Order: sequence, then structure tokens, then C-alpha cells
Amino acid sequence: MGKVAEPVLHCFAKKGSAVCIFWSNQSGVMLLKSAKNWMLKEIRKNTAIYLMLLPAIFYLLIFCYYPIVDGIEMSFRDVVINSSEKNYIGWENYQTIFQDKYFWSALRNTFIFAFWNCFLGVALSGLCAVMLNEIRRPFTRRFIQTSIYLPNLLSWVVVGSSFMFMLSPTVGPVNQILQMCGQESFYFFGDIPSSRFLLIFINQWKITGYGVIIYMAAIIGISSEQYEAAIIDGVNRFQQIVYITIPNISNTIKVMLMLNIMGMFQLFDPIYILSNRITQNNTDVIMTYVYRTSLAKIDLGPGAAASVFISIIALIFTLVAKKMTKFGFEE
Amino acid sequence: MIRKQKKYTLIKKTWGGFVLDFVIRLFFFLYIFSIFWMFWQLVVTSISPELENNSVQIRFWPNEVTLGAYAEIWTRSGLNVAFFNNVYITVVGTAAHVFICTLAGYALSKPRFPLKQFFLNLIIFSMLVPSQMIMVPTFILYRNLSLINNLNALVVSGMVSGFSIIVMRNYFLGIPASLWESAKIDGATEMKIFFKIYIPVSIPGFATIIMLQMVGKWNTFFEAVLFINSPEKQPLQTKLNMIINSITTMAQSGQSSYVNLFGQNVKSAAIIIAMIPLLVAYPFMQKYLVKGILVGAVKG
Repeated sequence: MGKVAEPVLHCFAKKGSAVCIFWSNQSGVMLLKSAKNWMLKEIRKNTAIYLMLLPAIFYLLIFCYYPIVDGIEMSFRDVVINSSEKNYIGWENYQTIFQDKYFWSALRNTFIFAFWNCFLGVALSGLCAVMLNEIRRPFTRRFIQTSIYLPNLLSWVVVGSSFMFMLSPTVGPVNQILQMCGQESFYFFGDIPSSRFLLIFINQWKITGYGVIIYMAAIIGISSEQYEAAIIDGVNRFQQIVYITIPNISNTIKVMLMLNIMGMFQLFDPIYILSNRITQNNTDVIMTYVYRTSLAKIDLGPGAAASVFISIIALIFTLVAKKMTKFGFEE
Repeated sequence: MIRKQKKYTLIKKTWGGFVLDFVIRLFFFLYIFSIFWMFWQLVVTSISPELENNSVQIRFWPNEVTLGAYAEIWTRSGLNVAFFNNVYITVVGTAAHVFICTLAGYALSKPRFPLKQFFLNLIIFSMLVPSQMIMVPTFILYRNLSLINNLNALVVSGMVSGFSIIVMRNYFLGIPASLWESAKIDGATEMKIFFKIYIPVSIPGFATIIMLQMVGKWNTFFEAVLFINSPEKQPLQTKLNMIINSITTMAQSGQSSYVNLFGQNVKSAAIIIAMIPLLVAYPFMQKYLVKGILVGAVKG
């Protein structure tokens, strides 16, 4: 954040110091006026540019920045819908959620999902890309890349309900195969111990193709001379992967890590669609918790408090990751 | 020279390499098989009559082809209304998004004007805002703007994204400045330069954000769950979710007549209707989607 905020402050400071210099001068007022005129002229010259920016900035201020302030404020008061009266109750909303055991289980699940999705999201798609690189025929490679991106394109509802159909205990093909092998049919979505694993698996099944595209772009950029030199030196294919391919994509790994950490706590759709009352305790995350306990019941204070709490955690993770990977927004 | 080649061929044909090739091919075969098997099972189930689906036999080919499930889901469950709702939010939402983001991207590609860095930071920082932080206040805000149970809520949400602005800005930065200068010398205004010169030459950049936004809008789910309650205003994804869930609960409570009404074949037909537009469009937009993903990865 420091990196983002810096130029703004700098810009203001520069203007402020300019004004100070003008004031300390003997004929300060006149010079200030000319500076003002200069600003006006500059703005008038760029009117078209400001008009073009206006809708986007207006939208972001109303729908992105205003809710942040509003959310923080809301978490400290008793929110009553249809009433403009504001009675502040201090930390009571936070106390309410901290005393709720479902909040803690949701928080624990959020961390577990975040860790595995982040780790596998980086590692598995990297592994897939490295493996894909070993396939030499361009057509096959292209076909695989295109196919495994396909689930990414579909919505979570489509993927989720397809899995619900495939793994259904009565009509699902997977269970029919199990039955043909003489096994009992298994209710996958009702099994508490494996419910988290199943959700992580489905998530990875859906998103791996996205990472593969990013990694493949980096792998294709590696010059073939490195591989040729290695082959002449008698390096086998495993060693090629470990000593040439992986070091060359280390920057991409950092980028993927950053992307994954930024989206780490925002899991909503798959949990909302695929968890049910049986597995809820093991799969509920903060976002579904907020939706279920506050928005569906119109009891918004605790929900706002929980949102602020998890957002602060998310922000800390993002900033730490940014520091560690040295990955900034250029310009 | 001969020796080197011999070495090369020797390395190519080791047992380790053979095993590696085999494992890699098996892995990708299983992955792709799981995807296509799923689609194929959905298709087969949706075009089979209902009774067949309850038999234990697993089928890779339908014994009897009927399109009854599609007719039923289209007319009787309200999926047609949801489908056209979705078309509306996709078309209008994408058009508004592209218009606003392109204007902002063009403005930010200008070399210098007062407060440029401030606006740029405002846009970049908006990409870092966690969506859960603003879930509750956004709900209140939309309620105050009377956008609850209003399809326009889904058009408005996500109408501006920092990502698209940055993509368009980078595209415009890549256009040589001499084009702008020559138009300026000929006496064109800023707006005229934008609409007559910059837009026609940046069609590929447009295609990227249009495709990404269209896919996103077609798959709108979270916003619909938040803002839309009434059945006739549902977009496709929430409607599909309702259809799937209504079937399972009714099957559990043992109402056999309802099970017949929304059987597994009808359910599969609904899933296929929801994904067919994207599958049809995928070959055409694949190139642009890949480009968009790569830009996103570079820019964060």
C-alpha cells in the first residue's frame, strides 16, 4: 500500500511546498493567483480527458470506496434497516461474532481452504505446465491446453451441479461403476471427513487450466539453446526439468502466488453451491457465514464486523506476500 | 559429431524417459477424459427418457432419443425467462462496461495532466479491495438505490473494473503518438480522435475485455444471490441452482410426482442449456481469452 499511496502524497506535498514558497515571497498573493490561473488553464485544456475519466471514477467512489468506509462504520453500530437513525454500540458486534462458535469454525475452514487452494493452485498448475511441455507434438499440446481450460469457462453452478450428478448416490455414473465393481454406493457430498477434500479437488479440477496458460507462456519463452546445451552435456529429462525449466519460471511462480493470495479468502460460489446441512460445519467459510447469518436474516451488524475482520487478515496477507515476492504494480 | 548424436539418441530412449512419457500421457488422458465424460454423460442423460435414468445400468449411448426434457425445462420451469434475463445482463452489462472502461483507459494513456497519478492509484487500489469487505454495505447501498430485485443491479455491479481499464490503457499506450499528433494538427478534437482513430485501431484490445466480461456476466452468480429474490427476475445461474436444489429436496421428502416433473434428464438438460452458449463461443474467443489472462497475470 505504501507504494501505491506514495506518489499521491508526494504530489500534494509538491503543490503545498510550491504554495508556501509563493506565500513567503513579497508579492505572494499575485504569484499564487498566477499559479491558480495556470491550474485552471491546465484543467480547461484537458476537459475532455476529465470528462472521459468521470464515469469510472464516479462509479469507483460510490460502489467501491464508499462501501469500505460504510462497512467499517456499520460494524460499530446496531444496523436497523429502513431507519436512518444511528446508534453506536462500540465493539458489541465484534463480541457477538467472537462468541459464535460457527464463526470460529468458518474462520478455521477459510484458512484451510485458503492454504490448500493457494498451495495447489500454484503447484499443481505449474506441474501440469511442466508436464505439458514434455509433450512434443504441437497439436496434442494445444488440444490438451484448450481442453483443460474448458471447465474454467463454465460457471460454478454448472460445474457444481455436474459433479452433483456424476457423484450422485442413486443415478450418478461414478457410483454405478462402483456398484459394478461390487462396492457399496457412496454419498460423496454427505461424507463429513472427506467433504473439504472433495471441495478442494473440484476447485483444482476447475481452475488448473487457468494457471497452465500463464505458466505455458513463460515456458515457451525459455530459449531452446539451454536445452540443447544440456542434452550435449548428457543431462537427462528429469534433470532438465529441475535445473532448466523450473528456475526459468520462478518469476511466474511468484506472480501466480500473488494472484492466488489476493483471491485466497474470496471463496463463495463453490461453498454456497456444494455444501449442504450435513457437511456445513466442515465447509462453511467466512463469506457464506456472513451471507447466511446476516444477509439472509437481515441482521447486518455482526456480518459487517465479520467482513471487516476477515478483510484485515486478507489485506495483511496480500501486503506480506507483496513484500516477500517483491511484486509491485509498475508505474 | 557422430558420438554426440549417439548420446542424444541414447538419452531419448532411456527407461526413465519412457516411464515419464507414459505417466504424463496417462495423467492428461484421465484429466481430459473426466471433462469429456462428464459432458457426454450429461448429454446422454438429457436426451434419454426419464424411466431409463433410474436403471442401474451405466450407458455411454442412449437407447432411445427424445428431446422431451428440453421442451419441458424450457417451458415449465421458467428457464426461458431466466435465459433471456441473462442475455440482457450480458449484452447491456458488457456494453456499459466496455464503454466506461475504454474511456477511462484512453484518458489515462495521455502523457500528463493534473492529478493523473492520483486517478491511476485510485483505479489500481480498487483492484485490491476484498469483495467480502464490501458485501454487507453494498447490499445496503443497492437497497437504497432500489436496485434489489431489479435486473439492472446485475448490470451495475462490476460495471467498472480496474483490470479492464489497465488493459485498455496499455493497449492505447502501444499506439504510436505520431498518430495522435497528426490528427491534432489536422484540427480534430480529443473526442473525435478517440472515436475515429483510436477505437478502430484497437479492436483486438476490445475483443479481450469484451470476451472476459461476457463470460463473467454470463456466469453471474454471487451478485444474483445477493440482490435478486423474485423468481421471474432470476438470471440463468441462480435459476439453474434453484432447479437442481428443488429436485433434490423434493426427492428427499418423497413426493414422487415432483420427482417425475424434474427428473435427472430435465436437470441435465438445464445444465446443458446453461453452458451451451459458452461452449459454442469458446473456439472463437479462445485466442482473446488467453491474451486477457496473460495481461492479467503480468499486471496482477
